[in-house]
Amino acid sequence: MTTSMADRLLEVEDLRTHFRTPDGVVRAVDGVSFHIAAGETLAVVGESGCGKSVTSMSILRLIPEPPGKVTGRIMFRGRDLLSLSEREMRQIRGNEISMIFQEPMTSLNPVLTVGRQIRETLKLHQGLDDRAAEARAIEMLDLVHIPEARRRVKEYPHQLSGGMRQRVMIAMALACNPKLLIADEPTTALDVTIQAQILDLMRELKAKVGAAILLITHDLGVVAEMAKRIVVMYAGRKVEEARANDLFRTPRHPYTRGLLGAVPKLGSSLASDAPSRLAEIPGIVPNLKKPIIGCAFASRCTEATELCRKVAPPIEAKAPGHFVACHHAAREAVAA
Amino acid sequence: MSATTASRPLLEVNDLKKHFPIRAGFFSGITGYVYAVDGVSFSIARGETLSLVGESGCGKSTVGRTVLRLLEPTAGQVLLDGVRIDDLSPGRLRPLRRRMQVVFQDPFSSLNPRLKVRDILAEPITNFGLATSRSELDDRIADLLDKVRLPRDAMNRFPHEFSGGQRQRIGIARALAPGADLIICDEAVSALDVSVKAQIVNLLSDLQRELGLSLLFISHDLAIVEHLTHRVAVMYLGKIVEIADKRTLFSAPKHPYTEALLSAVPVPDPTAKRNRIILSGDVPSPIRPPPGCRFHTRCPRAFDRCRVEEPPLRAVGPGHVAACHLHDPRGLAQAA
Repeated sequence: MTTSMADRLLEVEDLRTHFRTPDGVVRAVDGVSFHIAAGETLAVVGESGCGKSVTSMSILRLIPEPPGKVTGRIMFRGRDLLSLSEREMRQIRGNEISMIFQEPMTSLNPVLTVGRQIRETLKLHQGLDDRAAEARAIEMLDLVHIPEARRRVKEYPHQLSGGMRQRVMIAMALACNPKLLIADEPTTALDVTIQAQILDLMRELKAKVGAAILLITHDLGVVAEMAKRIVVMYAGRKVEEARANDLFRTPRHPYTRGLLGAVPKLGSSLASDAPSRLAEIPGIVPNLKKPIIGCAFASRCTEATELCRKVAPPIEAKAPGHFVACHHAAREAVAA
Repeated sequence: MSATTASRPLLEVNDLKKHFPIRAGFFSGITGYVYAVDGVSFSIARGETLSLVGESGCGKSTVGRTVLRLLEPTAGQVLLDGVRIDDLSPGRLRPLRRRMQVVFQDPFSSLNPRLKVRDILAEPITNFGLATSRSELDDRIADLLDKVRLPRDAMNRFPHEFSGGQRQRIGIARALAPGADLIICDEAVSALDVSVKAQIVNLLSDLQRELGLSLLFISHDLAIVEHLTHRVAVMYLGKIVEIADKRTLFSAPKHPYTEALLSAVPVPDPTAKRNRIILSGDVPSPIRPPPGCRFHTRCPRAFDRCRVEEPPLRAVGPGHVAACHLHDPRGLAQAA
């Protein structure tokens, strides 16, 4: 399914984020392209160091330059974010594009009340006065189902539990009605029962607010519950992109297949009383400080050939809406 | 002290308690207690894996540390191979420490960065006088590296030269070094990426089979637990609420908390239908645990009796116990 260019809220083209370090250039993100339509949820998944968080930081222009260097194009509502001044960027951050981070304790200011932190964005971006901002802050806390919102706005982050803090983060992120919400591992630090509450809340609010969500996560369970479309990253590159159902049903890249096999599924090993083995991906991720020749996954791939070790596979449509960067992925008849 | 018999469990824990005193200031007296572990009993047979699961703050790690006597128990008994170790003097306990070892969560902070792998592994061996000569020591270290599938030249390298998964292999080798028969894994795979996690989980189940180890596997990750355990104990707020063999616990849980916990785990399949029980609120403070059943404040099925009377662990099936009034034949009348 292709969206027409006009629907595309965000279009990332050939994004490269490199960092200069004493031991060489780290190619954290190396030529990644994707888009998000208005109101859509796109998940970017991958393991530590695959570049998924650097991608989201690059979109918000939060990469310090130097040592970082961001190139490519990031088109958001007709403007290339990479060409904007810092001043223009500040009007977008927290306003049209907002972000929820993994660790709600470190991303909230510990010495300010949560109400003050929500009011700050409202006063800055929406020009509300104190009284209107306070009313809106309470309204936002109500929206994220924080009980006794009127009392809670006066509390400090340490007085709230982890799940409550993440609710506050979400309230803050949604306060200015963003067009795009970037959620970087929003539930990773939370317990499962609290994670279930937060995912439920995010789904509910998405229906209410209508913002597009860029979900960054390593948790394929969370992805399956939240996203319509998925981008899989490995070693700074996009290796596969597909609709969620297609990706989980017919993963076409060997890395995606390995990843899905390695994730234990609840209830899948109950046939015997004894422990059961998980599928493994042998080896470890390549060092990003050295240029990777050929396919980044070749050293761990059971299907790798000489071609894979020499030539990086281009990302190609192998089925409608299903893009894969693998020399050996079968192409489906286009008529399908 | 009773004689060792083959039928006797390797580890028995009876009514273990660990209360941490709270002091308001340096010179002031005790103002209260954190009831971290409040009467926990279980046993582990030789060659068996028991998993202790629960959310943050439920006391599962404190149980592990108290069993190891890294923390002194407040009350209760811990028997290793029939010998009470909870009240042994440090001198008498020391030789028994050889038999129980621990693998920690963070493979970055739990290995001394200034020691080479060889010295990390040599320390427990020489501490317990298990090698009489340099060559015997070298043989043992080489054998340990083989066991955890690391190359022998790893010996001469420092921890920082290894990836997270390899470091966790070093941590496992260190636990095996003194010839332990009980290994306590405290969130041993939680910090690892999916593909590496599967490798370490498989390694642990292989080692258990090869060496006949008993494992106490402390984890919040239910899907991982399902894959490597024989039996599961579920903890909530300092108490065990349910114990059963793997198949029973995952397919027919009896305690409402276990049901909610299992239903909260995200399923990596977008087409899966979810019957999620979303618990309201947060876990109460272990400083002031609620009266009656500790879960009643969040339990969707709580009734009057739950608020006043604490349910004991009752047998609800073969090898299956649960602490819930719903499963008391006498309590059903009141539930209706």
